[in-house]
Amino acid sequence: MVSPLLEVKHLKKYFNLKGSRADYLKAVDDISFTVNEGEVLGIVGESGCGKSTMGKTLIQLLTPTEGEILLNGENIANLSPKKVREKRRDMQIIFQDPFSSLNPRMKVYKIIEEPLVNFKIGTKEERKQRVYEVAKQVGLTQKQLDRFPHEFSGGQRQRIGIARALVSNPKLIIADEPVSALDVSIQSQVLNIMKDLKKEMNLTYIFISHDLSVVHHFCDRIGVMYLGKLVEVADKHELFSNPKHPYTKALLSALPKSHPSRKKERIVLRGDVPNPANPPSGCTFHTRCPNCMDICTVTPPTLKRMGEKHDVSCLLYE
Amino acid sequence: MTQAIETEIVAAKKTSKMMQILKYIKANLTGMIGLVLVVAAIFCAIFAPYIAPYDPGAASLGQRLDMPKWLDETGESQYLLGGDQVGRDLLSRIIYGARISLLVGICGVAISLVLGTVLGLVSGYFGKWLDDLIMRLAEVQLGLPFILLAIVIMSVFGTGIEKIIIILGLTYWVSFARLIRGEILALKEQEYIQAAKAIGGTHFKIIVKHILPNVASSILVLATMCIAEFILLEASLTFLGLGVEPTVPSWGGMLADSRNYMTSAWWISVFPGIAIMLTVLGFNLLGDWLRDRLDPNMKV
Repeated sequence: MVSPLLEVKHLKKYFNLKGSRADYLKAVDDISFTVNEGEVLGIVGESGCGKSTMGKTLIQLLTPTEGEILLNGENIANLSPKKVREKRRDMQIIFQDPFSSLNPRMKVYKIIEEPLVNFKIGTKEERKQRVYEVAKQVGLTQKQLDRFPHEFSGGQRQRIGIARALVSNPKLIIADEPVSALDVSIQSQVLNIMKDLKKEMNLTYIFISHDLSVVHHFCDRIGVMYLGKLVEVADKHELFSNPKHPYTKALLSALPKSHPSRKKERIVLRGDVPNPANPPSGCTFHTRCPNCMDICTVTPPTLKRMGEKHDVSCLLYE
Repeated sequence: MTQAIETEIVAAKKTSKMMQILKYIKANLTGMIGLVLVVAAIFCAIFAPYIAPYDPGAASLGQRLDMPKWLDETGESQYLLGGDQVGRDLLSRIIYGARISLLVGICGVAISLVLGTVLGLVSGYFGKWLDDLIMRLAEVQLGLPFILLAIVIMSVFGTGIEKIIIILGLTYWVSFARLIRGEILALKEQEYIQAAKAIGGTHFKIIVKHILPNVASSILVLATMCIAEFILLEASLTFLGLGVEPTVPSWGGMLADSRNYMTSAWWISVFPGIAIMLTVLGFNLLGDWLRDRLDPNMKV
């Protein structure tokens, strides 16, 4: 029995909309899930569905409105700023845009070393050894560490970002679309580095992406988000072979066919994602759902266990 | 034989070094002109007693309104740039005048820079009610016309160079605060500031290591431009009789004194005017050049 490294219970992040007092934007609305040690949980969803907000809330770059985030059984939501800073040693984030995630005025060595300095790890000499070690792991030479970020390509910059996240030996990495800003040829290179590092350092990833093929390649379990809610969570193979939620079905049907002769029905969703500041009543997906029933407009569904390691939030299955 | 080759190589290296320097100057011509003008003004200010040919306060009525030496055909004039309305050497007064102008410019900017940077940082970084408070204060400050404020304060507390510096410093912090606040609002969206937080940086460290170095170039550019503006403002205030005492040589004061003699002795007004123009131009050129130069992505 593997113990959950991270347990999220009823996490909510609402943004106050300027102007009126009553209006919130429910970016993350009542999300619960667990991540076991050594696992890779993928989070997929359309842009604007709250994936990144969730990632940033998990690592406390945004303070959660409500809910619990249990890291190794300890609630880290709403700790004092000082305690939060200490906890960040155990969880790190890799950002989406490698061009804005590195300080242009710091040399790469300083960038990678900074977490060690902040967390007061080791002597100067030990830190140097550690920086060289991590740099080697992500494929940077010692000579390159003496340069500035603008002298590197996108893929190299992203590897610097990975090195910075890993240098303090964290347990959990939140990867916020780490490869979506990169060329396809570089994507696999960076993903492979992340995979190798996972083995070497026994890491746990939460991998946020909108690219289903990348998620399929990289993750063990996948959670599908729609309008700030988790609508389906399942094992990778289970989700791809047996999707339950109509939204998941539609997403998967949009994947290119693996073989030209194989017949596949394309489910096309009508309309746009509704405004998250004013979500539809009942099930938030009912406006676009091909299987919409009368009850869907009234009763919001909850995440229910459907089978082994398969949770769905849909009234069709209740 | 080998020695000859060696000396040749050394010579070649020397010329190539010279060529490099010349090339650099050619590529950065405006910046270099600015630098030379600014350095010249600072040099005059510091070493005024050693380079001024005459005592700037020594009036000699015999030399009253003397023409510049190189224009005077009678050969009576001793002064290179002529004499003023009481027979003082214009050149010496211009050299001494650099002291007042630069003192006002640099000290005034120092005050407004420190004040504006701190308030702008607090306003942009911490936001919320502090931001509202500081920005409303800035708007009130902007609403007050500078000259009017200077007249009121000078007439209550009397004139003096330190008062000009303080008034300028307390008025122009708004420019710095607004610039820095705007830059920080943009910077905060950059992921590396969020990353700095995620990797365990304190507010102090994020500000000092990640924000300040990235706004420093803008601050520096604004500071050089502000020095130029302050020099002009000091000259205007002194011209209006609100600046330094008339006995102290200053460019604005010289212009004010000269206006009755504009038709008969043009040099009294023209040369201090040129001094102001060159210094201001120097700071502006330097500021422009620094702005291009300090962008890390432009570094070759």
